[in-house]
Amino acid sequence: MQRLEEREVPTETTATAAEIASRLARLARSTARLCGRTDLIGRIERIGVGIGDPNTRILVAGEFKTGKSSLVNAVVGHDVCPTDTDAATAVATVVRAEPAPCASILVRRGGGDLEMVDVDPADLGDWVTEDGPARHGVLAHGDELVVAAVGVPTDWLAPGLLMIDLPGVGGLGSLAGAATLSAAAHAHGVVFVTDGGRPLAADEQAFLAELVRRRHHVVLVESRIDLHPAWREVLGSDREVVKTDTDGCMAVSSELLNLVGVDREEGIAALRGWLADVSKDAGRSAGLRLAVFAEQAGRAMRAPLEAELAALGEDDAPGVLDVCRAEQQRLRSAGARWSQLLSDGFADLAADSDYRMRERLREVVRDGEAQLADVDPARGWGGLASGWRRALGDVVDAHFVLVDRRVEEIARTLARLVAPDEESAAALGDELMAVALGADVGQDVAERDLALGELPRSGLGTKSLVLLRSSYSSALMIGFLGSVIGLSLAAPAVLAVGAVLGTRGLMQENTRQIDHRRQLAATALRRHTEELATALGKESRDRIRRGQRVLRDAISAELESRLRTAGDALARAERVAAASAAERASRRSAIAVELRRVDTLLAASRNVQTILAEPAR
Amino acid sequence: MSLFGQVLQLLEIAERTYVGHPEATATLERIRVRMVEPLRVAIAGRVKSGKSTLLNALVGEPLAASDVGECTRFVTWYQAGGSYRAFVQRHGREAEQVRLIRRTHCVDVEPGGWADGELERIVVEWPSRRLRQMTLIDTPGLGSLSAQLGRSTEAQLLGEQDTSPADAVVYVVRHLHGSDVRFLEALHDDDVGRPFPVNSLIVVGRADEIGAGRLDAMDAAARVAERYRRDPQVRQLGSTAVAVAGLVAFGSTQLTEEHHRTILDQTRLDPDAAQMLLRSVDDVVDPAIAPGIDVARRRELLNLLGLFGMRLAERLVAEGHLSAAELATALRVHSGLDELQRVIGEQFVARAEVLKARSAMGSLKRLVGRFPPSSDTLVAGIERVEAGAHEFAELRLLLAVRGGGVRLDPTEEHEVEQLVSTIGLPAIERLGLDCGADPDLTRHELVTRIGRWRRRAETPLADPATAAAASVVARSYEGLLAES
Repeated sequence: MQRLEEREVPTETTATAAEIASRLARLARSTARLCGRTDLIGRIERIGVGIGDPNTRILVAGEFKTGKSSLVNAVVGHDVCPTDTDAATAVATVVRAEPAPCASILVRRGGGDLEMVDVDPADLGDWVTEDGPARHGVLAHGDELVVAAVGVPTDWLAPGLLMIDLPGVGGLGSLAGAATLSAAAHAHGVVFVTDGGRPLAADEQAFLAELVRRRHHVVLVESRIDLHPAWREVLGSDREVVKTDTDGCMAVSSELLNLVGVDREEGIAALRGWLADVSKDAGRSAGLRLAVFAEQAGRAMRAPLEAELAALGEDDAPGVLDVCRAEQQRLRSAGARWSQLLSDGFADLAADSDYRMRERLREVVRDGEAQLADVDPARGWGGLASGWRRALGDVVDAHFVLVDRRVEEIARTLARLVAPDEESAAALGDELMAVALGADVGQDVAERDLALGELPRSGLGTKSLVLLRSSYSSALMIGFLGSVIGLSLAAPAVLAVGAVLGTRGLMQENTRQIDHRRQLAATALRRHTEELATALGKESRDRIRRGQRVLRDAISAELESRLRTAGDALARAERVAAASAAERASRRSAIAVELRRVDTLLAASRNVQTILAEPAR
Repeated sequence: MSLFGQVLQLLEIAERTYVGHPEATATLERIRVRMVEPLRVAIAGRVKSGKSTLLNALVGEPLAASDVGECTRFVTWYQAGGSYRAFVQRHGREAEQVRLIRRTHCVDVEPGGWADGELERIVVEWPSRRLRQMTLIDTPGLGSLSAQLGRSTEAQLLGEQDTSPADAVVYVVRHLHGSDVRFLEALHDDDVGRPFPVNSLIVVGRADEIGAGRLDAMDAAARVAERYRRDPQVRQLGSTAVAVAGLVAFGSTQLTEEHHRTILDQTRLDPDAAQMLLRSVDDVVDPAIAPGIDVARRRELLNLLGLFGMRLAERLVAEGHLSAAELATALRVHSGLDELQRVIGEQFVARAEVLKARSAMGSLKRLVGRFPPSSDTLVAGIERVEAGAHEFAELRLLLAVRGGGVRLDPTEEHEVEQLVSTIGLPAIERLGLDCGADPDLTRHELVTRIGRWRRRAETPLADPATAAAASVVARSYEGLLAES
């Protein structure tokens, strides 16, 4: 039995990360059962959730017009993403390998239902850039295109690898930037594209830094090296900026590859290699997280056994008892304080973030009203509405960034309280953040299953599409509200008002009508800002509550498990102190068996960490 | 009296008001000097949008450094002068003369090594016909790597000083970006207290890169510029948009016989080799391709014109058998530089007096705000000029029309748009008639139009805003009639 288990120790490197990780999870579970630590089994399962994901998602992000779509085309070796000199990509496009070309789009109907529609791959350009003719007849007023997907026969994308061509990011503060960051949380890697004609600008650097801060795999691609004589200097200076934080920089010319089949600097080949690596690596980080936890669990199981063994040896029984009591005391005092810290932290967060969000929204309304003084809303509406939409988007972005950061602060404070030293506090903090993030992923998965309940499963990776959509949900909320603002004023309200006043009397003053329209516009802005505040407040309260609940559970489980470890150790040491010689001997041999199993687990989890620590390349 | 004259009168009143007030007197002296100096045009935009290259193209000489990386670190004024001199101005100090160094691709000052933000500006005096028309101000990019550089640009352009530094702005974009729009909005939020789309124009710089350097790249860039021209939001920010391939534009001013010979040699290559050569920047300087043409010459041409410029020049020479001078002209036209100079001439230079008077009014108002005068004469004078000057009435009309506050039918709207978008220009332009129109016919047309708009203003059914607009239009035509 034991030999069989030991053979499962994952040492060979040919297995995929997911296989290695799931074997380790099995080993950890069985060891916990043997040692009577059923409390650890549930946590092992929870941490191992992300291991079996069949898809690898790679985002292609960057400023407007840096050649993202051309790059995707060059990588897959087909003209799939439309490239236009003027119109930029307006909606995310998911590209994956399929035996025959196919394309579909995901539409959110006016009522909020999602629908997958198969389209002709040749028309894709109409769908992913603004307002193409093919949209008519499929998209009704109020419908929204969520994402487009295209399958292409290519050998360059591994099965399950999704390349997601995103709309351009207009700086870190923009809505598209926020959506990209949020989508990156669910992606396995990000290809950041920058123009080879100029070094990274401040906002691009900030954006990259944020991606790196969130521990995403990022590769920097310098595009259009066929066109810029100084691309080598630019590449050199960008390498300086990003040298340690990313998976590398590569220089490419999509144009040369697409037109004459020359891969200058072999940049595209390098990128394809990176993609293949990431694809092989998928599940690696999930596996790594599991391995780290398995090691912690192993130590938690080992401590009581060691304490008992030490007491059995009779050499320093009182000392062992003191150490056990001191640890128990420390944990009890932490137990008395953590819940206060947690609820205070979250109460402050909720109040602060809500206050700041409302303050920012009030500013948008104030500015909007000031703008209205100069224009007739009936004419300048397009510009006004898009300006407001942008401003409101910035508010949402700032709000969620604030919430994220504060949750992280709280998690780290709690980790320092519970863990005995700085190093394990940092590790625990990471784990807690991963769990808090996992809560949102879990929520998205639930939404996804809900949304897909009635949908016909199209050939393409429907699941992951919707997963992407829900990461955009905050962004879409704004887009949606924005179109509502536009609707209620631009068409029916203004026309109705004009008609009413017009029939009542031609003598009515035009200025009065304009004033009236201004009032209408101001009211619409105020009303929709109010609605946004409510929606955003609800969304963020839910998110905060979810975060609080998840952190509470995680911390209390952690404390409970540590307390149990400490208590267990103390009890065993005390019991041993009172036992007979024969009892001691038999106990010693039982402990030896358990210890060997725990050591096996420890060795295996360390081994797995070494295997998974470096990307498989 | 013209607005310019009225502002000069105001300045006299102000000088009398502030007798014995050294600070105010000094400011007034600066404002007065401003009135007779050439128009000041600032070139602004995000980092690496091609501001310095555009400046060099406009002057026709390699003045501003335009290498890889951020090169413009200080606001630099290029103004006409009798000799080649340079000054640096530190914050709150007198300008100090420094040594001006001519390098191959730009000019520099010595001693250099100033820290970011240490200098208010560098002033380069350069004898140049172009600079006598207008002083050009080069600015560090907005959204700069060093946040301080970006801020100093904003401070310079948005003017926290007593005299606003620039009368007009050429705003260079690659693609219109959120921060561009924010800046342009802030830019217009000054003196008159509302947007002022007359003194700024948008240049789609690096136009050759929009179409990935292909031969039709300028057409694509022209389409982008056209879209900006039509966009109502952009129309409130800048009077028009022009696409310019900065590198080709500047290169066209520096083209030599030697360059021309290199291009001629290229056209004599066999088609495959020619295509290989111009495939990418690395191929241009690859000694294995077209060994008959010296690599150093190829590299020089590439640095001068860029890949798109080389492709364009090769095509122009091959198809039109152009001489060096003809090629320079053709490149200038194709690069959009001619168009830009025409637009700057029409929009800025021709209405320099109105723009300068407007700047001076803004400075005066700031002065009065800072040092409230003891008597009301000056304040009343400023108010009178602001309310009474027909030029300001026309500017307000422009805003009303673009903002949608005036109700007109489409032909009327077209006519008014023509009139108000040409404020400060000659009568022919403002009427939108063909340039060859006979003076008598012009006068006849003016009389007809005056009558029509007078009637429009007096129609009892017209709402007040439209009636007011109609009388401004009629008044404008009367002014034109008086001048003709």
